[in-house]
Amino acid sequence: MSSGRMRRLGAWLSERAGLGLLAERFGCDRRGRAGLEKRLGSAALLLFLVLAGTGALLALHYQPAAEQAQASLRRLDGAVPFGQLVRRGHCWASHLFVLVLGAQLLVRLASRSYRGDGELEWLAGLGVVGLGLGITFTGTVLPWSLEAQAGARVAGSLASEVPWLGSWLRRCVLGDDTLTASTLPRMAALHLALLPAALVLLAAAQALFGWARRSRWVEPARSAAPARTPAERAALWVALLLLLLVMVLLVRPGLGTPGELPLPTPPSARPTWVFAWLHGLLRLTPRSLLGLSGTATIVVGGLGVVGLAALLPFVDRRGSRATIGLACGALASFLGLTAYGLLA
Amino acid sequence: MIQDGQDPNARLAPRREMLDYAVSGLAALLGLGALYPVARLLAPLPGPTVRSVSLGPVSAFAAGSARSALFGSRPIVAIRAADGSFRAFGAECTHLGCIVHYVPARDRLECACHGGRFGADGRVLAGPPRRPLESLRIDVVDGEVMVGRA
Repeated sequence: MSSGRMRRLGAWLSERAGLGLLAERFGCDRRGRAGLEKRLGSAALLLFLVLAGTGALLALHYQPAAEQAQASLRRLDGAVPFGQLVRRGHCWASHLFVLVLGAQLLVRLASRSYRGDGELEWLAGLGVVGLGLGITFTGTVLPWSLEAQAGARVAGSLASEVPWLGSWLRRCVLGDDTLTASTLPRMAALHLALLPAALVLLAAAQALFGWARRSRWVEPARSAAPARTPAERAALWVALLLLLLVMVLLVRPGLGTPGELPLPTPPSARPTWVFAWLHGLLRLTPRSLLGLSGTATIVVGGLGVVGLAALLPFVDRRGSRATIGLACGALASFLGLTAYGLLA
Repeated sequence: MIQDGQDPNARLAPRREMLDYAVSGLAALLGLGALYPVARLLAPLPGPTVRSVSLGPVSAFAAGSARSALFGSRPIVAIRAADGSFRAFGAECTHLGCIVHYVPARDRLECACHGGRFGADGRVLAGPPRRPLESLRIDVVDGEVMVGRA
């Protein structure tokens, strides 16, 4: 097909499906407006679509029951045509998804993009990152290996340290006061339906808040920039898909050690890199700190940090440049604790 | 009846306002009412409690070894010391709930998650746990090793 026909087909599709209108509404049609933050948002959207597609395919074979979960995934890897490929794609897309969400949050913090009535957008963005972490965590429990069970136990214990709501939250996470066979269906329901649905709603709200904010702020100099071509728009997605393909072909994610209760937690029980910083922090924290147990201090401190982050746009209305240092400090702490957590 | 010179909208405004309050209040009540069953459904009550559990015949339990079992839904570990005596503990590490394992060479219980170490009597030896392992009662009844609540 010639390039002229391709262009006409693209224009037809754009007009009928309203794609051009959407792009114009959400402010990504002009060169220069799509900064790093928006490119990361676009990458997150693509990765979420990959996760939703591969996740739906995996759900056709995965059995969320304690006795069958591990076996169903091993069957998927070994006997189902292209099953392992789809599982690899889902797994590595989830790693990239969290990476992109984290990078987007840091860029927002460093660029102080919450300025100019961006409070709701910032809060929704924080919620999206939290839900992304929740989806990743619940996904790591689904193979129901001994390592996955240990992860769920640790999460339940951390939840129980939340002031006032602790025991209720632990039962929310585990389905009981301790890890039981009923924990797995709960994790599956959270991973497959509840958390992704909440993420879609919150991400849509974030986009809406962003559009409403931009529509109040007119940028005449930038709006005169030439429109991006379809190839320019697609370049990021194509590059990301290629990266994902390389990861899928090169690295096979493990399924952990199969086993049921009451087998002891194996020494290989280490969280994925996404939560390795927390593992490092838990190992580093002393038994008692500030009058509380070390674990309770971490949980209360973590809640405090999230609360401060949520208040940031209300406190720092002008956008202090100190946030650049804050973002660098957060990144350095994350990297240091992650390295320690992986090596400890 | 509407009299001359009176704005009908102004007359109806208090009624409309009251209706707004009533509908908003009802909606809030329905929303709050739905929260309670959702909160209870999310966090069910714990399962039935168990009084005791058998670990099999004494003859099958070698000295200097340990055995794991489920006490209801909780994992437990029982140790038979070199002198033939028994001890039983809840196997969940008191730090963050990972399951400890017995190391016969060191005669202690270790947690692989965050490095918690417990003596064969359940006391904390090292690592982040603050409390000892939960101690359980262990008896031999008709040649069978039985574990129950202390």
